[in-house]
Amino acid sequence: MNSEIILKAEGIRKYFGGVAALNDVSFEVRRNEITAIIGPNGAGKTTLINLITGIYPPTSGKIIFEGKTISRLKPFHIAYQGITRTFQNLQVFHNMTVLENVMVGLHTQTESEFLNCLLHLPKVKREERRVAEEGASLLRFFHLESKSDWLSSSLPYGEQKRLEIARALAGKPKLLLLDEPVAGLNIRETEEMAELILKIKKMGITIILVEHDMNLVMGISDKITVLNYGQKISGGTPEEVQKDPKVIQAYLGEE
Amino acid sequence: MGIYEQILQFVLTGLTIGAIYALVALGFNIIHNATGIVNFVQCEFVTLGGMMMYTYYSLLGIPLILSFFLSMATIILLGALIERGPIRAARSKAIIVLVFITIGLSSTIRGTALLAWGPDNVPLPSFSGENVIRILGAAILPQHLWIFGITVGVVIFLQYFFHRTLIGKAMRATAVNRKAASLMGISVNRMVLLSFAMSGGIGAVGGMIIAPITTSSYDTGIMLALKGFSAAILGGYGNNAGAVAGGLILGVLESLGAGLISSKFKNAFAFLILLLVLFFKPTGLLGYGESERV
Amino acid sequence: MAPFTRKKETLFLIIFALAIILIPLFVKNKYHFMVMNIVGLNTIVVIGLNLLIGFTGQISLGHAAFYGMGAYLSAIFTATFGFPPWPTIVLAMIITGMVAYFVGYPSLKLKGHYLVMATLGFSIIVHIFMVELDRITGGPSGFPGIPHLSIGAFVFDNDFKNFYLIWTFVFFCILVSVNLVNSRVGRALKAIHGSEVAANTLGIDTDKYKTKVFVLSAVFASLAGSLYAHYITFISPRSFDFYYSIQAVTMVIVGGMGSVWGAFFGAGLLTVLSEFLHVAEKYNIIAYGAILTLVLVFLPEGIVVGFYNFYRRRKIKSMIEKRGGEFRV
Repeated sequence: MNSEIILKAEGIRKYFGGVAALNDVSFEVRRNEITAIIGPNGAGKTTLINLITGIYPPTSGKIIFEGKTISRLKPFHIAYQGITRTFQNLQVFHNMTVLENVMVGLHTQTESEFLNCLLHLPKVKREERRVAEEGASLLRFFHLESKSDWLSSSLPYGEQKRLEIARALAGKPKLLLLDEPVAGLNIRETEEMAELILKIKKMGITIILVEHDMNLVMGISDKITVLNYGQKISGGTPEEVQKDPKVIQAYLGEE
Repeated sequence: MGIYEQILQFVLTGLTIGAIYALVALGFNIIHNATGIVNFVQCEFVTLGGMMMYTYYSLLGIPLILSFFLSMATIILLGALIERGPIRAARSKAIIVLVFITIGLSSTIRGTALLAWGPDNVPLPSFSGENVIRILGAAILPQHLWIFGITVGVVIFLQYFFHRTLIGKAMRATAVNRKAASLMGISVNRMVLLSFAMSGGIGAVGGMIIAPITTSSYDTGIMLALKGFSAAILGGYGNNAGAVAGGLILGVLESLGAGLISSKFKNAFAFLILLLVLFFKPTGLLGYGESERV
Repeated sequence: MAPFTRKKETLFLIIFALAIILIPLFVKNKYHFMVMNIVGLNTIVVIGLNLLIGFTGQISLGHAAFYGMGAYLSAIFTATFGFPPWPTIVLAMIITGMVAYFVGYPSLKLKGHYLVMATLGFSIIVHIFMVELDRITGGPSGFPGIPHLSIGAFVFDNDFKNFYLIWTFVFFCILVSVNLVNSRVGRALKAIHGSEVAANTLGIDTDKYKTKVFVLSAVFASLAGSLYAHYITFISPRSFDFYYSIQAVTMVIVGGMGSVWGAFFGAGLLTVLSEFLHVAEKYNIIAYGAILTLVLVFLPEGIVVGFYNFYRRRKIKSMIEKRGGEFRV
């Protein structure tokens, strides 16, 4: 079954002070699939995620999301287009409670601005109630509801990872980017995370997954893109990629 | 004196004060590159340079050259103590907290200086006499030559240090990427310590060589340091070549502005330039220096 | 959690309002009123500044300038040009806000702490103008003869009357700030402090929010400045120098970054302390510097928030231990 293309990268290059982090990378992501991006350390995986979410613009090339070029947009514009993400090194808001973290995730779903908030108009009250309820129900989904009042920094690592996904999901994304969601988790937690990711997919959300854990990647991905030294060296279904001699070489090194 | 001689005069005095700004800007850069913070104690490094020199030379009667190096050593020690003490002891390493700590230290030291030396300006003798030297109709003092000479010396030394010595290269590596540097076996803590000591020394030199011209007091450092910071931004924050260029340009612009437009607003010029640069060319003339990528 | 916070904040606000109404009944000393009024004015500045520093994580060392702009704009427009005082306060707030926008926007767009230097540079320029434009500002010797505020025939012409005037404004400033921090915008500001990059990827226009909260904090300072001018009726550049900015910042830090009530506490504690130190003004700089450094090194959350967190940790700990769990910090 071939579903429609939701995100397309064309000839992406990114240079950092003359060093190419990505060199002419093109790939596609299909709606409601899990697309994994894999590759050895320094292959440019996180750079690619940063480009898609607008952290920095590509040196050249184009990223198209649902028919719209997004490669020059700021991160917050991209969030409004329906793309959210998690971070490899956790970026949970440590100065806020667990519930507040998720409520920030609902930013794109709400609209009260400075003046309304200062005066706490009835509209703001209604919105606040809605945000608190939606946040609480998300926390239930992620089994964090009993800790909603905790400062997020006091959560164990695995729960912070879940919280970050909950926060990203709160913005009702069409495309969710997960940067190493199971790094640092134990085997049981990793299995739970795999289930969680599949559940999110069932909700109709397209996922891009950057991950080193090959069992996870091969187990849940529909498509895989392989990067090495900033270049795409292979792509396809997990079976195709596993058989590709170039991939084997990249991972095992040359003789 | 004709208009051209006047302009030449303004340019020359501007370059002198600009050299001081450049030294201060270098001090800001070195700590910024090592830690990412704006170090407000830089103001006090400059002040104390002048005041220690005054103490050693005028009050204690120690020979000039010895006083010079003694003062420098004192401020280097102070810089190191600040890093070893409050900065390292801070329970939170958030940038905003560290910046505020330097603001607090700066006030404390300034207040202490006020108690120690009083509010009045104190004079320092020139390094080699007061005989006016004439250049194309403009007049300069031997001290101006000292300022140029010593600034050039410091810049050459830093250039050599950062590009030719192992430890200097290690400091640059730390600025580019702390994590990678520490994985390569560089002690980031020691680099930070060194950066505080070095900017202490450079700031002190700036304070000492300008004092014979402007006199020195417990708060001379503030203005000089803030303008030095403006110079750093003008040149491109973190960029050492930019710091020197920014300092000299700022000095000359300020001197011309004060001489040709109005001396009342002399101190406002530098900050006006700072605001304009931030508005129109925030990367400065020569671009940012080495800094970590996100 | 939000409704609960709301209830607690409402309770605090009611107690606070009652205290404002009742305190003057027990105070007879004119000097004590004066100190309390200065506390009130500082509280307004510090609440605004705390929204910027404590909640959003941006540093300004230029709030003396915005405070001074409020004072001088009110003084010049009312005493020199005969404008009516109340609309002039609003006008001063608008002008100060616009100026803050032009200072803040370019520096807040940049990564790193450019704002601190831009604001510092700006405040030095403003101070130079106060001193040098002597035909308009009265120069270093100050600007006398500013009219008192009045409502109809009722003139706020003594410390007691000004107490109610100033603290009414304090109350409303605290009210709107509490509203703001417990809202979508407040959460966005805290998110910027927590991680600017993450905040941005969640749809928060970080540049816009930082600029707006900076402008808001400048407007608060301008309001306090206007009230100060009409209360004391005489202003001079000395009240708005670099040291005032340091004082305001220290009040924010001591009260606790990110706490509206902490701002009130910080302003109160340090204003009273300043009054004690008044006999030996030269110790003022050291005292502020030392307090700032010590609090930051050992209690970076500030005194109020620090102790509150300590208390909260104890409470959570005892809760967990009751359930037989283990507590890790």
